Amino acid sequence: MLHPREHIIKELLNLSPSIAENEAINIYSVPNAYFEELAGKILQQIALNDAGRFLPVSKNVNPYQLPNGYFESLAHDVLQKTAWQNNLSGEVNKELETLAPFLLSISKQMPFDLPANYFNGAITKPATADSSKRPRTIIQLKQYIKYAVAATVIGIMAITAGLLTQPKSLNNHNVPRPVSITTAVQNATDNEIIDYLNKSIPVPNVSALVNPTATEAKIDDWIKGASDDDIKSFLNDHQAGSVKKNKEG
Amino acid sequence: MLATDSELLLQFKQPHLKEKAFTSIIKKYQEKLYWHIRRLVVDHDDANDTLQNMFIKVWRSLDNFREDSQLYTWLYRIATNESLTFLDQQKKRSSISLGDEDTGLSYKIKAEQGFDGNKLEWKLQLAIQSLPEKQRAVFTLRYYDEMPYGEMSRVLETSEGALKASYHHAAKKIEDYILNR
Repeated sequence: MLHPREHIIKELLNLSPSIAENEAINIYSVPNAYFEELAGKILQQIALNDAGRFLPVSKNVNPYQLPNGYFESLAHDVLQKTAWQNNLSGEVNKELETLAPFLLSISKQMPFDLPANYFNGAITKPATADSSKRPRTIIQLKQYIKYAVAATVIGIMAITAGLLTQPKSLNNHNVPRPVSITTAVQNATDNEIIDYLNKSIPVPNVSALVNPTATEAKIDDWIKGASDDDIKSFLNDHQAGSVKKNKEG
Repeated sequence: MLATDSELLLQFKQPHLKEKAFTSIIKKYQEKLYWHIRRLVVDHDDANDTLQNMFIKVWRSLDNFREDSQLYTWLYRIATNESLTFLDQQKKRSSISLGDEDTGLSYKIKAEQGFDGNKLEWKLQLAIQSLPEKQRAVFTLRYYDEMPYGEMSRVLETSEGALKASYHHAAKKIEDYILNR
């Protein structure tokens, strides 16, 4: 039985004797250690494929779309956000390091509770979209009740205070009403005025001055130092008064 | 991609896009503004009322916004003013001082679900509420929102120097509060 190689050579001699005369030499070369690394590379490719990281079929086909001008403003937007935030965070933290370092150790997360889905529907547009109508200010019902109670209490206190401070004479018809003094004087007669003056003002006892029973020494004492005119004037005044009195009598 | 503030303002001026633009503005800023308000007023219901009132004002006045500042600066200013006004009204309605340890805002913090007085984050909230209202706003804007003093000056309409001094003072007081209580 012939070896397979011998079959091939016999076949080639039948086909082309000149080719069969040349020795089979491999003229192609391979990179160094190609075959030693080949198995590992194949296994790596298999692992990437399994993880879903498929190589694109074609680099020229991109299914995603971008907004117009996206890349023109991207750098500016990012710089604005990152630089502002970083600088401020750094600035604010640095400031606190000097002022109150302890505050840096406290979390800024707000501990307050918030109703579920508050930001997903609780805040809506104003009750009216019509700019001609004035939107209502929202005040809780409990505040209305508080206002009503406060107003009632104040009203009761005011009425009570008013009743307690009212003067009792308002309802006592026996108490004379206050009278204007100027009016009363204008309406008074001369006799009423003289009577009032005589009763109120101590009038010197003229009769005693000219009382014949008084001693001359006493009279001299009384009029010592008074001028003649003063004495005449005094006597005239009192004489006029007694004449008037006699006339009216 | 989110629309820019300029685009939203342009849309707002068009009647058929007004509501859509306004909704976008709310969605864009609601969380930041909500937490800013909540840190000042504490209670969720109060924060919700204040936030809604704030956006109502925005709806009414956005047409007149002159864009001489950033939109978010303007929104923060309205939110801060609404919060401070709310606190002022609450103080007038109540005879109790809002800074009292067991009453007012401190009481509201202690009433919050999950409150734990031993935990630092809760102590921090109590410390913040011990500050006067405007100083509280200065501290939270800087500490939580990391707002630059220049922007804060436009929000609070106060000089940068005064804000720096206020913030420095606030940080010291808060640290002292936490460490010594």
